[in-house]
Amino acid sequence: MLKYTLHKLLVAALVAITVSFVAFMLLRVSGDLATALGGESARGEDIARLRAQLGLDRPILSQYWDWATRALVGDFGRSFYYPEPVWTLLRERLPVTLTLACWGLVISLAIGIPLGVLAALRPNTLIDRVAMTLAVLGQALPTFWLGLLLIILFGLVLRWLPMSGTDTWQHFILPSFVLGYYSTPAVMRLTRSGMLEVLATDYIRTAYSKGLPHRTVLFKHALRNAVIPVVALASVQFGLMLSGSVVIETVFAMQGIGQLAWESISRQDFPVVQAVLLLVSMFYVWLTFASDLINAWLDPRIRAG
Amino acid sequence: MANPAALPAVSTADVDLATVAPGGVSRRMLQHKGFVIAGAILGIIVLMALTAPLVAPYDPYAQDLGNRLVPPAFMEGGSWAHPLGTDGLGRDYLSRVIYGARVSLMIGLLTALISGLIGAVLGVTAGYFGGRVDALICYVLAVRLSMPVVLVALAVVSVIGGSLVVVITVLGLLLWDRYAVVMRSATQQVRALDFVVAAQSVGASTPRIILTEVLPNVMSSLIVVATFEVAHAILLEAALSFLGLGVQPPLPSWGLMIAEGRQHLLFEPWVIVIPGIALSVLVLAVNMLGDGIRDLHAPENRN
Amino acid sequence: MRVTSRFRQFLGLSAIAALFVLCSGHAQAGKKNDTLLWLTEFEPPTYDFYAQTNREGVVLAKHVWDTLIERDLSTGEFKPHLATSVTFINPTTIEVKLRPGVKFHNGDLLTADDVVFTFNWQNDPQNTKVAARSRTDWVKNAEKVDIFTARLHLKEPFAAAMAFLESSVPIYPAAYTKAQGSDGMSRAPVGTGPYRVTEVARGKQIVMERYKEYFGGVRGQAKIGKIVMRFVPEYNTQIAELMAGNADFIWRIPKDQAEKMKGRRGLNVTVGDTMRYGYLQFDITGRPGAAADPVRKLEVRQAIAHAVNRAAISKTLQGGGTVLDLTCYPSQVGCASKSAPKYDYNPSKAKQLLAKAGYPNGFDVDFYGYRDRQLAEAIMGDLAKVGIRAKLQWLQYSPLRDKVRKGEIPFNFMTWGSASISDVANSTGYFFAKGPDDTTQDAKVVELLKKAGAEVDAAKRLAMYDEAHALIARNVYWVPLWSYVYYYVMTDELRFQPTPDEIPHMYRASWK
Repeated sequence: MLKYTLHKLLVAALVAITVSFVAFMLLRVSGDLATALGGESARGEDIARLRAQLGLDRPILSQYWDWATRALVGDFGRSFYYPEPVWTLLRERLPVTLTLACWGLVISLAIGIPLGVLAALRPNTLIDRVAMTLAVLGQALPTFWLGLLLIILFGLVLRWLPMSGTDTWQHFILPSFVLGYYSTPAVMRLTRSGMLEVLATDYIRTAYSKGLPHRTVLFKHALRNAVIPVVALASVQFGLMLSGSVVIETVFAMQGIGQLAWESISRQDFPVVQAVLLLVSMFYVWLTFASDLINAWLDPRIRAG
Repeated sequence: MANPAALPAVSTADVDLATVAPGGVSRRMLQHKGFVIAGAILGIIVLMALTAPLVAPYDPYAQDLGNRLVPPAFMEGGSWAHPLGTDGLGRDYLSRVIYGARVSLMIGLLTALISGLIGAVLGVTAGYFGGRVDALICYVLAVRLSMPVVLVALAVVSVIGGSLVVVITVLGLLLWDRYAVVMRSATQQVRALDFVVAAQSVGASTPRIILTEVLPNVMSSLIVVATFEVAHAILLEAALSFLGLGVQPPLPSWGLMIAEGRQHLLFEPWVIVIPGIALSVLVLAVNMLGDGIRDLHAPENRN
Repeated sequence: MRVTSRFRQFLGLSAIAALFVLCSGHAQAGKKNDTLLWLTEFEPPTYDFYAQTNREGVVLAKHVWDTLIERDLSTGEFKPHLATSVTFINPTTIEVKLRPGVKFHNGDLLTADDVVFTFNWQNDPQNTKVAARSRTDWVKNAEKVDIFTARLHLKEPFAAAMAFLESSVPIYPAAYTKAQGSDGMSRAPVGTGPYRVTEVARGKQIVMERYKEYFGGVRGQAKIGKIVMRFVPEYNTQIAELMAGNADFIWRIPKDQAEKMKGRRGLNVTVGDTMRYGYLQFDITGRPGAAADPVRKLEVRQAIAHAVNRAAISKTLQGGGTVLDLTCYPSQVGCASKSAPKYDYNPSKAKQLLAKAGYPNGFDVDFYGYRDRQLAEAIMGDLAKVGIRAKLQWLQYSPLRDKVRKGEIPFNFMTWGSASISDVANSTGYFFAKGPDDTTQDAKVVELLKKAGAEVDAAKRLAMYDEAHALIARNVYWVPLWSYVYYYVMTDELRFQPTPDEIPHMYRASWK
């Protein structure tokens, strides 16, 4: 187990470094962000002054080194657009996105797992098809459309829920639902195929033949095994949600890092974009690491393989 | 050593390779309801795309500012002159939907082709050779999986500018991960099978083994993944277009039409609903096709 | 047993539902609370006016700070506001006499120190938080004469001085700004204006309350007690909130949505022309590779000017707007020309011109833009009708502006708000006088504009601008398109008049 952990740790660290390098380089593809800062009314001299101030005329590798070493201690520099350190911006906005992603995950599991189980119990019947359609619709409907539709339905027509902002926990209900719904097909499919596979095993047949009640077999034995890959999936989906919340945060007027990333991309606010890319990537890397460990602990076969 | 279970839509359970007698497949194909329905829908869409100039009543680019936002024929204020109404610039919506099929299909297929090629090459290589090659490719895969696709695509496109070519290239270069993972597992399973071992002991060259023994057997998994990825690419393009960084107007892509319809969402809902339905139908059909293909190659107990 | 537990479940659920209904209301707003809840798209990056150029920032600044002179709404003249007099004592010196007894929101008294500080601090090369030095750098330095008198020494005679003083130089409190810096000012803005900032919730909203000790001046007292500006990036969401009664005022709503809200109970829809205008810009400079651009031929540009049906596009897609023939907004001083040619909508003439230029079958061209996609598409549609096949290249504002400055863009569609300055110096004078965005570099035009910028005699100045405009129009360096209209949708309890400067002046608004 120790060797496995160390190995995974090494890979995670290596990936983290590579990703940070890519994140940094990616944005250097282009033009002049001093212009971005200057805005419409700034003149040529203002822009040249900004460029020198921000150290944009130094060689790229040395810029990367400075950035990376400082990023390790949480210093991502100052935003080119906001008068604040990037870390402050991230810290202010991260809670919103994290809350959204957590609740979105919960919702996708709450919808996806039952649908998957249902579909597995009656494979290739109408129920299976309907369940799959319901789930896949979550991906095929544009998020902004679903979001605005729900705003109108629950906010304007029924007046049950607030429409925008982040003041209370009720404000998170609709956006979390939209976010979570997008991941439902993946969860459902995985649960379904996992259940089908487990239900066909000798282990389950034995349980049935022993005379255990149907419900016990289903939940205590089959589901628990089928859920293992879903745990791994959950970490990937969580990461996806962190980056996929751009549209939702825009529609529901929530100041999260998704919206920050999108605005910063538009404004070529490099320090912020790099920091967000790095942050989200780090979540992926370390979540994957954590889920690898969990899976290894749950399933000894993976450790050996 | 990447966790094979860390797969969004397709699990290793989907990739089981039961050998089924060839003749049996086509018969079962026609009996599998989902597959048939999906195939029919896709057939219609493809036909529509191919015969667009013949089928579309108007030029999808022809603007008519005097006839903006005419509702579809079945709504109040509509007429059969424009069965699906017109958009914000007075262009006939039915024609744009028909031509839009071309763009969406092209994006889906070409992106799937590029990413499929990259992913399949990487996956098969990793699965067949194992050892250090495998470790290296898994590392590349882990790096790719850690990068948030949407943000990266946005960052790149915001600087280069969006267009059909840029979108296909960027998505093609980003979306190969699932192919790689699935191809890798599939190849690993096949490699252990008798006929491959036999070919190796006979001394057949590696490329030959891969081409003649391994590939045909992993092809079905590749196709399953490809179908889901086609849908994924189409949806991503729609998302990019929503944010303004997908294909450029006046191209009639369904994704772009949905994005343009955002303006009219509240009071002229058909502008979004119609391409939205078209997109959903396409994505659903593609998904059903993928499920169908996977079921057809599954062991008996899956049915 | 089971019936009771089910019943309890039902009660529980209904209680929760009831809670939702009760708790989902927004902060109290509207006439009954004397609070205006204003939803807007963009949050300024900082509330320090001088460190940013964002439109919402400019709007807020108008409410929190005052300028030395103000425009009288009925006559349109400049009148002293924070000052009691502002006069040229010689062509390069302005003497400012301040109104005594004006207090900043934190209690500090307004003196000449504040005026001097504002200019000198902005012009100080050590000050890194200056977004647009052009606001103040026409002043070489400012000097205090006595407690309520200051002198501004100009670099050279500057005809637009009054216009800049009215729109671009709010007076900052010297002591407070020195102590708090730009960041401190952003966290807690302090000015002399009719509204005082009471809450800054970054990312969410900013709250202002009527300043009870406001001196009045040209603006008079504000009537609405409290203004809450909340940031909602999606205008569909803004509309939903307004229709649900959770907000009082939204603006810059697209015409189609706004028109549909006319006649709805409880809502009022107003349209106002603004100074922001759209234009088609050509790069005529002789940069390498430019020779191949068809737009370098005069006939081609003339053809384009005739091909676009500006009136129709502006009316149907925007809902109004003035069709422009000059590269400025008509209310700007200097925006008139008796001899500038006008280009009517005439597609057949356009085709003839194209044929004369050697393009009988039209040509392909890359067409760049960053906003108003539907308008861009409409323009492209008109161009297509005469054979010009424009391919849209959509970029974000900053990369596009950057490329334009580098000379990489032969043909683009952009807009300009002139920073609400009602003088041609910041529109035509900006784009055609060898600045970074001058893609024409016509020596004669440059000369005329530079001279006019320093000419103090009004009649001579106008004549020079007249000639410059004529040159620009004859050569079709730009195709000026239209002015933008803004739609404002609000609760019908609000009395509000839009103004063309793209700034809603809420201190003039009141409840009905």
